[in-house]
Amino acid sequence: MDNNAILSIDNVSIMFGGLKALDSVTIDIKKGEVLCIIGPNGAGKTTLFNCITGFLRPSSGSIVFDGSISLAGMKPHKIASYGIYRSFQNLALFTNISAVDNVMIGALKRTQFSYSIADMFFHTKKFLTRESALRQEAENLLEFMGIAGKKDHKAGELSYGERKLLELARGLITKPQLLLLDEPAAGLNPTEKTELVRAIKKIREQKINVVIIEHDMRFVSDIANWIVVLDYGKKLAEGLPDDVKKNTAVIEAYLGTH
Amino acid sequence: MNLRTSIRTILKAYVLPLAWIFAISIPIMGLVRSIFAGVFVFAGLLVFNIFIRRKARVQKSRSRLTYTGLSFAGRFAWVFALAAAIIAPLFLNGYSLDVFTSVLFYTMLALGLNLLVGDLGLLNLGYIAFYGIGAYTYAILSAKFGIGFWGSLMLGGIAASVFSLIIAVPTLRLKGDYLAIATLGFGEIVRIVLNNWDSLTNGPNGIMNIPRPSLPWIQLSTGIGFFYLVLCFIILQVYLLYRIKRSRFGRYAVAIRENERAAEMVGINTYKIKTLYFMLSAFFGGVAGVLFASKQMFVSPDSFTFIESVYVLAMVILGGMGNIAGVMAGAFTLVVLPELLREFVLYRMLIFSLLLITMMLFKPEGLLGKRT
Repeated sequence: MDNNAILSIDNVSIMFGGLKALDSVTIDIKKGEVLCIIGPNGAGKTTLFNCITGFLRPSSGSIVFDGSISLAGMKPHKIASYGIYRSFQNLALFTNISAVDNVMIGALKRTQFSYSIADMFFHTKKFLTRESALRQEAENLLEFMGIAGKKDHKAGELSYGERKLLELARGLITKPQLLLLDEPAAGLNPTEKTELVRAIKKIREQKINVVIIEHDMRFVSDIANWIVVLDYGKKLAEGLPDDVKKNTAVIEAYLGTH
Repeated sequence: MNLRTSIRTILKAYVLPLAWIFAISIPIMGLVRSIFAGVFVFAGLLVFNIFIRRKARVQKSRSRLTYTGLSFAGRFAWVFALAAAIIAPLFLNGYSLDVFTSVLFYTMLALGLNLLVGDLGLLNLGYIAFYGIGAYTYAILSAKFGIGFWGSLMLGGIAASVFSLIIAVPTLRLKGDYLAIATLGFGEIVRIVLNNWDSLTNGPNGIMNIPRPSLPWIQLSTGIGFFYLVLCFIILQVYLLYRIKRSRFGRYAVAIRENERAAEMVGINTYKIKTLYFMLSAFFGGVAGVLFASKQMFVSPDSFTFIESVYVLAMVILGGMGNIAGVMAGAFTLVVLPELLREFVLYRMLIFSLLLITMMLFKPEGLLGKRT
């Protein structure tokens, strides 16, 4: 196990009936890098995310966060409270409430003891200042993501690209150490993709570790420091973007043999 | 707005519902009575449509969770409602006062149930069980242990909360319809136990001679005194509910209702929050039950049937889920309307049902609209 790893996935396997969705996958995510996981459909990429975030319990293997915290078998909300945030392939927003409130909900756990029950019932000055500080923080993050103009719109009223950015903003307010993004660029048009790349690069500058599942190779080579290729639940290859692109096994997995 | 869209709006808002009411009521009640009903419905539609037109303007603020203070109109409405509630009993006869006291009981219940149905989006079809547990707690405590009203008040709420845990712990992992069925079962179990545990609850005969509350300097045994007592509890309840709604707990609940997976992802222990809300909701039901028992001075299992749960649920939905003022309006409407319709004697419940159906067809989000 690498001491420099923020997350060590060691020999993780998961079975769905007779199907081995993940087969002894070992990945070390090093501090400060942007890691991309690529692979054909059904390779087990999202399943891996589900294992890390507690939505699935691995059949075997260990997932260790920050050198000492074992995540396997923990409840999702518990895992989230360690500073691991994950976005969903098909978005998971609070659709009927405003964008800024969506982001504020992200901060609830972190700020849960900032005021007492008494403060809450009597709306003391402490309560009101904490509330407006929180709102300000959320608005700043929307600004950072470039969607400040939509702060009072319901999340459901935003465009697809804006919703992806909103989900990112909600993640950032949790002050995550590790950000897991499941196909963030899927369904976005080229302009929206550029926006997203810009946002992810800005996130990387803040020393937040990012893991991205993605198909788009151009997008991947633009931001990844390290690439892991999954195929049929197994790790096929890993390496620098340029090396992975030349790897014959990877090309075979994507294009088939001739 | 051009002419065509205005015509279409009027058609949809007034002509269609009226035509629908006439089509159904004329064959049953004859022309004269149908016209009478039509006037009623038209008046109702006028009120609804004014609210609909207002809705577009306030939509934006409705998606905000932070308390931003009341508008002038909102403040006026609250003050007016409170003033009306304080002054009206002075001019009412015994019968009307009873109806309005019953409005207050249902308001407490509907507000309590709204915590689950409106804020958390969990369907509870056995809510009346908590009302029954509260009422019986007071009845048994006073009959067997001589504990007075004020001592029983909290105990009734706490008893309901404790019993709610029994149903919440195993069933809150269920979703939607499954939870609804489980709570329905719980409601029936409570009623059947009350009906059959003769040594404790005196079975179907119920428990009599439950004492009225007393205060050293205020007369509470009269109808009017009691009305004001319950009113005070409602004011306190509404205050607490608003503060909860606009706190982190309110946000937890909204997050869970809107997207449970996302709520977990931002670190919310959804199971814990749901249990907490379930207990709080039951607590309000239990307190209302104690008040109810002391008003009636008698409890029997007949007061806590399944249809009562449905009735309370209808108030929440008809008033506007999650909307505290709306739920109160819903409780008021559903208690007072059947009384107003006594004019129709035999057809009373028919008209009542038709009005409900019409209401749900043309304003499905409830009298005052849903609120996040």
